[in-house]
Amino acid sequence: MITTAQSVAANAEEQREESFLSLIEEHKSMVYGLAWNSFQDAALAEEIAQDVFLELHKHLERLEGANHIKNWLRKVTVNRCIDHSRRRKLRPNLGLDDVPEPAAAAPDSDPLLEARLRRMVASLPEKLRTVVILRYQEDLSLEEIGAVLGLPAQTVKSRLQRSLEMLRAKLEPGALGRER
Amino acid sequence: MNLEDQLRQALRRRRPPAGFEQRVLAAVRNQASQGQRPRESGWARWFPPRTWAAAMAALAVLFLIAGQVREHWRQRQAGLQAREQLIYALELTSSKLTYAQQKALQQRTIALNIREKP
Repeated sequence: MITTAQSVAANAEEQREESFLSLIEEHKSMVYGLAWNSFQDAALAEEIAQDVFLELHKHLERLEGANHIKNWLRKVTVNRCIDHSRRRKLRPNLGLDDVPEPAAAAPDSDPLLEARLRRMVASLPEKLRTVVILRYQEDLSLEEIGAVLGLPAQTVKSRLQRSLEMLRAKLEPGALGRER
Repeated sequence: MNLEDQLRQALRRRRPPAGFEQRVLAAVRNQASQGQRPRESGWARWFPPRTWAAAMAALAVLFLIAGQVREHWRQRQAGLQAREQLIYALELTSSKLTYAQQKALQQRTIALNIREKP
């Protein structure tokens, strides 16, 4: 026989689960995207994203407010990606030099060019890659990236510039169409 | 479109495969059910019964070998002691016999001297 206390506890658990589900729904594309853009591997991205949300479930009561949760998720995801990269000595599938040159100049929003750019970003050294992904996936400012990574904004800026130089050097001038 | 715009386009957020939320929830429930299982104490976690049994067996074998070595050493010491005693007894017997032989020779010499004197 279900007592009132049990029923209240079950309802509370149900509500907690629902609010957790809505958090997953709200942030899953950010978390999954950060991992996917880091490794270009759907299975690994899902594994990392699941781990991050499991961690969120454990720490949920300590997090206050939507912004706190979002920043926490971003930070934990980035750290998980860095840990994973270091722990398994995971090297990018392709080095920058392995990415083939395009046969011809590609038009704007060319899916092939996008895929090539993603592979090039994934092949960047871990420190540079993280900065690029936070900047262009999450559209964060240098200060915000610095806060996530625990780095001064100036360091973030120099890493970003270095990354763009490396990417530009690999891309042919005409590959991006009207690139300035 | 410049490189930065291309990067924004290429690195946009991605939705995980369908059913992601359910898989996360299942993992959460799985973790919760694991957390509810009676946890072994720290000692039992580091030294499970199988490890204990192996350690005890190894200790028993070690004691057995130590006992055998000790017994062998004790027997060897007893043998050495007996050998020393035997040598001492033989030396004693030898010295006694030598003494008796010397005495007998002296007696014989005295007897011969008495017989030769008129």
